[in-house]
Amino acid sequence: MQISSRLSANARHAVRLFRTAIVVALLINVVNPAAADPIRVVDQRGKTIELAKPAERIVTIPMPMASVVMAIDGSSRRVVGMHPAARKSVQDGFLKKVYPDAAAIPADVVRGGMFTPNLEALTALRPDVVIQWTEPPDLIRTLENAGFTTVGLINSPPNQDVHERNMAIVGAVIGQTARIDRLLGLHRSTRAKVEAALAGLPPAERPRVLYLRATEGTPMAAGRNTYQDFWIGLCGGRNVAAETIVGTETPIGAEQIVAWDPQVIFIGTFDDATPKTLYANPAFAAVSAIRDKRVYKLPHGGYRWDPGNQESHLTWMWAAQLLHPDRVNFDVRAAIAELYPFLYSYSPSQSEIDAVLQLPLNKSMRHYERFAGR
Amino acid sequence: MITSRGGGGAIWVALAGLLIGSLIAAVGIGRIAFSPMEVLAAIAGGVGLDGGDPRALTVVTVIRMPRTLAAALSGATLAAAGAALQGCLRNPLAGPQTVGVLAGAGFGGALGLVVLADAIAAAAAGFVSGIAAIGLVLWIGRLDGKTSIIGIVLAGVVISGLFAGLTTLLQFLVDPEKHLPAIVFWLMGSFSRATARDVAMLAVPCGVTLLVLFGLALRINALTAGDEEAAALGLPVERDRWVVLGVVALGCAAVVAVAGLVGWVGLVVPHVARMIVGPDHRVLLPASALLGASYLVWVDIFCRTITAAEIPIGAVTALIGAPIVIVLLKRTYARSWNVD
Repeated sequence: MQISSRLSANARHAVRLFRTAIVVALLINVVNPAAADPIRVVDQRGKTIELAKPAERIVTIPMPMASVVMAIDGSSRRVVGMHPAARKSVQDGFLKKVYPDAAAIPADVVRGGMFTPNLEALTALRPDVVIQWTEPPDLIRTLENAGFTTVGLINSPPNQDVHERNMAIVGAVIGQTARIDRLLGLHRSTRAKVEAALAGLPPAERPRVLYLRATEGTPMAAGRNTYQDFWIGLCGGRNVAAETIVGTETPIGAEQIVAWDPQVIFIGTFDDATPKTLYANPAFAAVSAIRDKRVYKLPHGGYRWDPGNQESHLTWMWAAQLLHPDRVNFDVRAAIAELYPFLYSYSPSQSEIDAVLQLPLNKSMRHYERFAGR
Repeated sequence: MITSRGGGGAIWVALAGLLIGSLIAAVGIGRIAFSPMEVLAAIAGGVGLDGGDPRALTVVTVIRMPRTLAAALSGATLAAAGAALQGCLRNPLAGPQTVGVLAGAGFGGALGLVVLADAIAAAAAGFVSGIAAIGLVLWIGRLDGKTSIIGIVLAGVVISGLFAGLTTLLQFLVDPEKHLPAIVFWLMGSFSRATARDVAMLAVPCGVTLLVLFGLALRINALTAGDEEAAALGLPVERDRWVVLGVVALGCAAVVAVAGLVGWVGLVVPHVARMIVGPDHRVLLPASALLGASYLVWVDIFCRTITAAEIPIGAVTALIGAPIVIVLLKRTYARSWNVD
């Protein structure tokens, strides 16, 4: 009796332990989403996207998003297809060094238009998720009709809030919420620092700034409703094209540039133009920025620094001190040296930082000595 | 026989005065308002005298003067070319577009812009493919050893379509960030990039085209009357037509290389000129050239002044040209042209 009762007591204890184990296991399951819980992401259309697990095979059609995925993930393995211009950026920029294989990732994901999906190529890539712009709506409808799980991003208005939301959505899709939070924290704290440094800046002290694209043939300015307009304003400049131009695709005559008389010119990275290109054109000889040697080619790191991307806070550090060298001081080289190991698990050499900052092209320009290494 | 309706010297004074006035106005009008004195000082500075405002000096001598002269030369060439083509093809809808030169030169220029990445090389490539286009048109249009008028026009449609297709393919293949915007804008037509070097590059081929066409005015008159009448006068009909088409190709390819596709000028201006001076090519050709030059100078002023953005000149010439052609055709087709 005694023995049996002891046995039964042991058995009861065992049953209790077993129950506890099940409850604990269930609890662990609930609090650890990576284990089995589906991912729920509300995209920029307001549509809820459900994934059984973090997306492993991703196609990115919006150009900067390929490098954003690689940066947030800290690897290029999830990107199975990207926009040809994004791959061009990988090949031309810094990412080729970090992810040599990324330069060969298929880029035939668009066809017949800038962002029109190439459904056959996409089918062959078997993506878990296709990331696509939502405007115009047929870009995304085509994909969903073909049965692809599609995450919609927007680019209007092209400001930092929209861009941060885009990056957060991408981070959630690949289950890297901790890394994206850390990155967005860097963006937000840098933005606050720039705003604090320029607080109380009188409007008259905002220099006239012009962002130019494709200066080799027909110059095109970034007007209002562009990400460039956002960061020119944030960094204490006045975008001379904002009043009359919308977007980045409008050709501008030389006389209009003389009429605006910008004090600082930023040259975009989407073409081969350099400060030298502008200095070679006698039409610009009388422009203030040219006379004062304040013409700068934008840097090109993990992505081009012109549109919103994972390194945008570096763009602000860089641009703010070129516009306000007396008020703003960031060590951009140190910021690059700190950021790149986190984003890309790669420590850039001094000469690689020189290349990112376009030192060979910009070094004779005013205030650029502060970006030179020791 | 064709007779001149021209009222003698007064018309030439008016047409030349219009061009000179247009050139002066063009130098004075732009996105930056300078007073006439500032403009004069700038011009004086341009020839080495005391210059005044350096900004005015740059804008007037480096920006406005080259593009205005380029527009004037282009307008003169396209209009005279159109008048000559309408005459020797006996077709009121003939123009540089009709014989495929514009589309051909457009493709070559775009290709040069992408592959060779150099303005001069692009100009040369545009010239070569412009000549190739008109060569193809002449070859296709030649049936049974004779050049058929309708054959040339049909061949022009086909070859224009072919080269337009090649250009579209090229646009599809190029780097959409780097080259596409430049090509697209260049194809829409613009004098925004014209420099003094471009003016020099235009002057020789355009000068040759204009002088040869003026010299052939009587022959073109004969061709207008019909191939058989011209042959009856003992003229080498075939050879004359080939010479006209050849120099038209030369001048138009040069214009396309500098300014892109500027359509409708060669179609519209000769009709207006014909209303003023009549159908005699001895007066029609120079009148078309003067009128075309003034016309394109004013369209260019509009394109570069009306907004901060540079308006593509090809779009404006088409918007002005199409309704004018419709009206002119309705009014004058039956009266002035033999319908074959």
